[in-house]
Amino acid sequence: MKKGALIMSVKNENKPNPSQERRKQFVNSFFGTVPVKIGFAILVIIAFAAIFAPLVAPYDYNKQDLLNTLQAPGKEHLLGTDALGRDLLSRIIYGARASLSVGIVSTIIAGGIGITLGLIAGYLGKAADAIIMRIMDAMMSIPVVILALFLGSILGKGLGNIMLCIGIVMMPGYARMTRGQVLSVKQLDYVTAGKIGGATRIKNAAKHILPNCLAPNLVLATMNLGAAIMVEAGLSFLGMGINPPTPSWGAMVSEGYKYLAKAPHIAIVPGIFIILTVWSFNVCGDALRDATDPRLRGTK
Amino acid sequence: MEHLIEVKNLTTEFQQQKGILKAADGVSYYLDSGEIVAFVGESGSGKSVTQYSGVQLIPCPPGKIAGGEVIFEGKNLLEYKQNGPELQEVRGGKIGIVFQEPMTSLNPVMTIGNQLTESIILHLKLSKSDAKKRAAELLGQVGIPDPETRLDEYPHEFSGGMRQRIVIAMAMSCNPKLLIADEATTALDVTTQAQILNLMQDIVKKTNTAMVMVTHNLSIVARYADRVYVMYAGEIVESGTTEEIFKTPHHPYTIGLMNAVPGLNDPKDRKLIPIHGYVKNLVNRKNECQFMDRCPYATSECKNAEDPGLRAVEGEENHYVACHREIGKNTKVERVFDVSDREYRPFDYAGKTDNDKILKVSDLKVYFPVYKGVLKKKTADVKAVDGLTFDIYKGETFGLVGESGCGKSTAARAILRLNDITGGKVIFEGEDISRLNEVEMRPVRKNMSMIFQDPFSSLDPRQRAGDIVMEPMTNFPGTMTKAQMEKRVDELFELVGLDPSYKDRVPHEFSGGQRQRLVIARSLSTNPDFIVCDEAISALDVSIQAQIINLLEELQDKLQLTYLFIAHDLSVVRHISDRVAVMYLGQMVELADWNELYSHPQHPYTKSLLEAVPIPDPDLEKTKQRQIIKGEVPSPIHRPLGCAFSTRCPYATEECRTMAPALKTMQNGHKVACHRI
Amino acid sequence: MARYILKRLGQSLIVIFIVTIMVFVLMHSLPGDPVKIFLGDSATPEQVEYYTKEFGLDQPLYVQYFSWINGLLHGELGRSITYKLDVKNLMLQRLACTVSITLPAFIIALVIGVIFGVITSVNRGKPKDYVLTSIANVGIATPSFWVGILLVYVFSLKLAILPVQGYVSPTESLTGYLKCLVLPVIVLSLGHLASTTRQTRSSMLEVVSQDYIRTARSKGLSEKTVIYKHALRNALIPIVTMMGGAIGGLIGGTVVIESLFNIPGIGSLMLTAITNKDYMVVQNVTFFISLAVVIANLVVDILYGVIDPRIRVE
Repeated sequence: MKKGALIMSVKNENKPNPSQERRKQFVNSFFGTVPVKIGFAILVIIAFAAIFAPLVAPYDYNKQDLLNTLQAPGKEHLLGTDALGRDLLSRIIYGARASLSVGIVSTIIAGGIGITLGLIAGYLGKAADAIIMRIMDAMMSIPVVILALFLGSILGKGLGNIMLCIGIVMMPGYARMTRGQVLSVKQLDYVTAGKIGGATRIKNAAKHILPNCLAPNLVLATMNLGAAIMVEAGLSFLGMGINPPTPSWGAMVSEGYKYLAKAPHIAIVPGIFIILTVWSFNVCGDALRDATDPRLRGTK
Repeated sequence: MEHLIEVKNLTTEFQQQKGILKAADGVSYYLDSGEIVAFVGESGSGKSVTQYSGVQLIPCPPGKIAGGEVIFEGKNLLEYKQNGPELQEVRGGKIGIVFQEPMTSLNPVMTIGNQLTESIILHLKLSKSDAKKRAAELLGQVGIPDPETRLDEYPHEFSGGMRQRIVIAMAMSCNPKLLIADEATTALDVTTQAQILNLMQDIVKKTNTAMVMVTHNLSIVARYADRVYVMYAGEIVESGTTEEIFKTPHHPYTIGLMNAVPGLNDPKDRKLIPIHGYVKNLVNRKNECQFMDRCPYATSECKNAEDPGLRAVEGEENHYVACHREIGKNTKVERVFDVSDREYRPFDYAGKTDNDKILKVSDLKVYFPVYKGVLKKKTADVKAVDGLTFDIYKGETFGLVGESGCGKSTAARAILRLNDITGGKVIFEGEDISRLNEVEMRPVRKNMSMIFQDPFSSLDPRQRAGDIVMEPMTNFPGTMTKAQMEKRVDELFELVGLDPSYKDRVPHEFSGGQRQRLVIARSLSTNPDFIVCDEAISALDVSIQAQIINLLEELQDKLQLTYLFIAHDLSVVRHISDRVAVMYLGQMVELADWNELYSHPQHPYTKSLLEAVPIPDPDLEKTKQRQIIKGEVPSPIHRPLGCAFSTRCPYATEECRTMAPALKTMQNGHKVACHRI
Repeated sequence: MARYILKRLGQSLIVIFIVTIMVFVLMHSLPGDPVKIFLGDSATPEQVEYYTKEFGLDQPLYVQYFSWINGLLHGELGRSITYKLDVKNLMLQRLACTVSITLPAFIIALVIGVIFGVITSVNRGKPKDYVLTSIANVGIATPSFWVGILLVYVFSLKLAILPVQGYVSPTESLTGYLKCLVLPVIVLSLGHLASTTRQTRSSMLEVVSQDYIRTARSKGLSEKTVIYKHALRNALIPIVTMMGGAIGGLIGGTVVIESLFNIPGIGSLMLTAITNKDYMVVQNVTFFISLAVVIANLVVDILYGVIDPRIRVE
């Protein structure tokens, strides 16, 4: 055969480093629209505030000032004060800590357990699949809030327990999604090719099936983070969430309800922050899905 | 004389991330009533886009019809609003379309009766009951039995071939003046394809409807078309009558196509000459000849000139070509691309013994149980493979043909032990692998591999190309170090014609043909002796297929490989195989040397298969009388008693219907399973 | 079709069975001795021992489980400590209330959500789409209790048209009844309206890119026919599936809404019961709520079979 007759690709000529190119393409696609830029910026700001709360918050979140209760937003207290004279802005910043940490940790727990169960169900099939999926169905039949209340009562209040509780409650979604992915990936030719190439079942699953199931889970996780934060807010609102005096946005709304007539901002402002955070996670989740999807599809 | 439809300078664009893609660039053509006109081209040629632009079926955005006129019955269709009432009248009422994919072209939640009657009521203004009568009539005309009862059924209750007939009935239901068939038979089996094409030809000739046949298959063109437009990269590069195009092609692309496609009556040592390279990326196209880089006749003049327009060919009435030079079949080429210097040698069967057989399959059976009911009781078996017996010699290319449902893929997978074997034996390189479990089978896998049909789904989208090729090696490291493996990956890349610097790319950064080369490289990774090619080229463009076929042949010579070549394209199988076997409904009906099988087929099914395949030679096609077989393949769950083919065989007797024939050996190794021979 | 229904019925029964086990296990993991709670602080050890035997709480767990199941099947659901009523009567009393909020919210979310979803998908990229989709995106990020508080602020405190909270039975005063329901229903439906809109939009967009829609257009059918007759029916399939899960979400939402608006429904009953460790109530109400969700999913699946003929052949 004639050497030198190497067939070159018509696209991708003179590209130095393909992985760099891919990364650049991904970033461009992800930040394509305005809402994502805003959402991502919001998340960065809130995360920064949460992490560096002691440095950023103007006051101690627990410092009561009974002379200055129910103040409207003003120069001294940017967002006003609550019924005990505590600075609302500082409480919001510390509340961000609670919300974000609960959101992230519970999502990790939910994802970790859920994905594992989904993998087992999808890969082993038959009995294991049926049992696991029926249990997931049963869990999903008990409404999230109710199950969370239940588990909360069992585990008790406290940040760690809340995270565990919400994590367990949100787990079935990941299990279902992963199982579905495994089932569809399992029969693709490249998995068969791995087997023909002599890979052991475990190696084939780890190398070919697992990575291709993880991507949609990442998208699900980003969207579910928002949901986890909402659940925590709901629990706190009902008084079943994080212990006071640690501020939680949901609890702050509940506290503020009593003073709705006199000082509506106490109830309304924390809610706005919930909306901003959850919205930002959702928008980034959508963008993540759009950025990862068509890339996998290539062209003929 | 006014034409039925005249398209002038049509330009259709698509807005893409990196720029504007002109899918159709200044296309002009015409059609008259009663003629069948073919639009030939491969992916990216713009042949479908051109037709859809006429009725504005292009999604806008991202598409846009940027210029030109489509004069139909005196009016310019492009002036009408997209999805407006005037255009709606034309669609379905004056112009009917048959699409490529019968499985997805019908609405799954509406009865076919409903789908048929809605356009009849709309365009012909009939009452509901009259429309129903007409719908049943149409179904009968397209060959669907029991049409009245079937009107209330849903698409998923019909096979692919039947669904396509329904779509044809729908397209013709309102007596259109023009029928557009967009790759209407590409997704169908060979015999079904012949039935459907004949059906369409009959209908349009009877009703004097004009028909546009969009296809990449030159042989179909030779058989059915009156005139041809050859398209490349969004432009018409050659046009003329079918005879003119086939006898005296003038455009390098047309000549290239004919050189690259095997025909049923080629001499065996005919070399396939592929068209080098790939279609250019048409985004932000420049004003130059788009075929230049692949053209073996291109000179420096071509490089400096603009995009050539169509000019008339001297001495021929209607023959136009878009080329700066005067090219003919015998013109000397300026450049020679990868021409293989491989000489064809027939496989020498003399003196071969049992020891020379790499694979022995005896009475292979693969059954899949069917479970019904809440308690999951086994009610029947799907007998995908029912008693297959054959041997393959080392270094041979064994071709396996058959239509969908014949079990050829299942058999291949069973041989590679990807399925469990329900009965029979498979002996590979002297070892009985029929009952080996996963662990025992693994060392055997070093010597066998497979090339899949879809280069898309057979490569892990997240793996780098180099790792893909290296992976099988890592499963059988032996004494190789990592560095040695890397070196071998480089060698394999070069062996299949890929630049080793592409090792870090991921699959979607390669084109279809390149991906298939990657798949081939991977299959060679562990230096196997035996490779199963399961429809290895079916998903590729025609001009690329020749590249891969040549590559496979060279590799076989270089590396002493044995191939089991499975395909439904009879011409390709004939070109590459030494012996060929024909399967029908899980059984082998005929097996012979390639020449024997194709020139003296014995089994009625083989004969009907060969009758159904057209040859890219219009003279031969026009004179040949063809017997197109009727009916469809029965379901493997309800096998006929006796011979599986007896339900459709024109020679079937009582004996055929009750007793299954065994595979008899005739002289010179030719085996047939038929009572009537 | 019958086969399909039977199969789904069988699966549902298994799920209900697992639910009972889950609820039972969860119940018995709750801290605190139910007898001591029942008797109060002044209970003597003899009383505790007596009532423990009386309630059968000294029996092994599986016996307790079966006697519970037995009770369920006979309508014997025990007594509430807090309300001193039979749980059965308590639930029935409160059911009407909860249904008054949940049913309208469900219908509003479904109908308006689908309508908005179709509008946005048909007008993709245009202002109508942009505005509605943005609102929907914000909508799913908004906690329902917060919206409730906001609306209470505007309509009850500032404008004084609607009551702040409470519930008036329809037999007492029809207008009073309706006035009480307006805010809770709106608040409960908002989240699901937003997510239904998004779901419908993406489902429609996916359907409209399918081959059979191109075929429908090529037949010259009007855009209206193409969208509403051909596309919508296919797009509804995943939406119907989603509705099953939505019912669970709506019931969960009532816990928060009923608490906010002080409405005596099943949701607030659950909350009070858990806070007061009223175990009989918690156990049985949780079970019946889950039963309702399982039944709803079963109905949804059957509906799915009606819409999509391919499923019936499964």
